[in-house]
Amino acid sequence: MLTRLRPDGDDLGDQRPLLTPVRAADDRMGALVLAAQAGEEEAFSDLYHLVQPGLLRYLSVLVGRDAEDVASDTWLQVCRDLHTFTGDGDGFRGWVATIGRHRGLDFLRSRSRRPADPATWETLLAVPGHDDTEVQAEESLSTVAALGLIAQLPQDQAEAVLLRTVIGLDARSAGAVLGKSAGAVRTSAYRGLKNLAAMLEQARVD
Amino acid sequence: MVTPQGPESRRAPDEQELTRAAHSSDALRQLLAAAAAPPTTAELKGRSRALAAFRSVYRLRRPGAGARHPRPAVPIDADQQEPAEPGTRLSEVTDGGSGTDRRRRSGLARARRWSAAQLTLAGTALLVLLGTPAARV
Repeated sequence: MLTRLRPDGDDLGDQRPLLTPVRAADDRMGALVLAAQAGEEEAFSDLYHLVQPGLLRYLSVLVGRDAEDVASDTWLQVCRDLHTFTGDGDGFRGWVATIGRHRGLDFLRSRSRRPADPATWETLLAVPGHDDTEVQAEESLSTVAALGLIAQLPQDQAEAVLLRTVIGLDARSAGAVLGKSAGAVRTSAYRGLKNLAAMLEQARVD
Repeated sequence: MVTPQGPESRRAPDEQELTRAAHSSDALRQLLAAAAAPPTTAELKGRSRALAAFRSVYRLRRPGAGARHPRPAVPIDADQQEPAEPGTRLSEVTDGGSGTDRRRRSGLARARRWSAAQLTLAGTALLVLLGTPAARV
């Protein structure tokens, strides 16, 4: 599973638009997709490096601890069907996310649903020391803890937040993954963000 | 959970409203940044399996695979036409197999020819020795 990241949120927060953090790589991704379809292994490796982290984090919220297995199945299907894909970099992200979502839902259907194994509130609050300030506590939020908190949202809100924030899809592409309109995705993401803010505020008060 | 109120209860929020919501507090901003943090090594450890699948689909050969892992030498006696052992590659039966196999079989054949020649020579000498007195009788 994921390992704890160093608290490097300061390096990311102010400079990068939070809702589309990976779009800058999409221009390059389109060329990589074409090269991979031609059989270039290096291009496929680069695509994996660009897409896998977001996919794995999305699946970790969707299926919990089995995310790596589901992601592996997803890439197997990506390899098999890559020659059929047409589109740009953003489309490729959405295509892979769609495959991952289908594999994840298949996985959940094939066995009884297990908890997403999110970080508990105790774990979340234990990240900083007792005498740390609020800012230090926020900076210590790791990726695992952040995903654990997002996993506590209703599924539609969690998926919308992850597809927009972590995988970096726009509302239209995220809607294609979820089978919703762009407006419905924005509404779910908005409500998810509001709920996350409320949960963080509640944790601060407690 | 938050019950939708205000504009979001009547229509879908636009991108600006979403951005404002994402930046509504430092805590939320930090959480979203942590969720989208750069990848860790552990997150990329499945790359070798994905690459293996890619090579399989596109029939690519892993670089250096032949040099580091030569095919095992499977003894095949073509003269006797014995059935190949389970796991023997078809190419090793039909085209003589790897260089190691060919060299090995070539050496065996040379030794076999030399042994046959020696046996023939010895037999001839024996017949000469035995045959001469018999002829006299």
